[in-house]
Amino acid sequence: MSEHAFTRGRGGGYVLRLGTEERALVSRLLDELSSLLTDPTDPAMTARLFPVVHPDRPEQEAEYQRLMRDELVTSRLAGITMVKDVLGGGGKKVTFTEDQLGVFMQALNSVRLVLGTMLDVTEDDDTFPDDAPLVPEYQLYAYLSWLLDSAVHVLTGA
Amino acid sequence: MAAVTSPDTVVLDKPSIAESTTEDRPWVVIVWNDPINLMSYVTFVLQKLFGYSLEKATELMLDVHEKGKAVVASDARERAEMHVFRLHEHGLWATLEHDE
Repeated sequence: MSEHAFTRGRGGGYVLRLGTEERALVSRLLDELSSLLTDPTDPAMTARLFPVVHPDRPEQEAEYQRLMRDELVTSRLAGITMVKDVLGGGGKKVTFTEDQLGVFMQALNSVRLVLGTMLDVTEDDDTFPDDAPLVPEYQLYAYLSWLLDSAVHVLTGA
Repeated sequence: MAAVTSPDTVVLDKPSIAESTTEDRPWVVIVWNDPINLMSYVTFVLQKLFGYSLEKATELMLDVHEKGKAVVASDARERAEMHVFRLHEHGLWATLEHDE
């Protein structure tokens, strides 16, 4: 794994080099996110994707969620569709525009929020136990964190 | 989602001072600390959504991280709700508060 996943493209845009397996993995995760958004069998898994807005005002909270929750789902699904189109291009290099990369980051972070909720991560989880039952999920979480952080760095030039 | 540029207006027959004061009081957008969102990403999102400088966004991010929460914006209700919506799209844990 190189230090950065993303580089600036010579002709503009932001280039992500993804192997076939990684591309399939990211694509599968996006599909799973779509399923969770459209058919939440376990609402606890997606709780972090739909925060309470008015913690102390039940009526306003109900009104906000009635008006905006579907909109949030729609926005996320549209983002996933767009990102999958970009990822579906041939070759090992995927080139994003700035807007597309922004949407990809939102989708990546949504997956991280679901995984992080599942793993019940805490502030101190920089390292994870090798013998934990969910090692693959921890590794996936770390991989997505690295990918997202790399996107931030390429966009901000940091 | 449509961008709303003007605040809610409420027409009252005889607005009392207390009512109009409450109505004028801005809604406060709060971002809460959570163990999942990356510090670099939170700073980036605050810059992107609110146009804050790196310094200002970093300061707010550190407030969130160290104090547990920070006020990132205050605005009329509909605009404040739009800010919250966009923060949620990005996965940040944002809520609204309003003194009454």
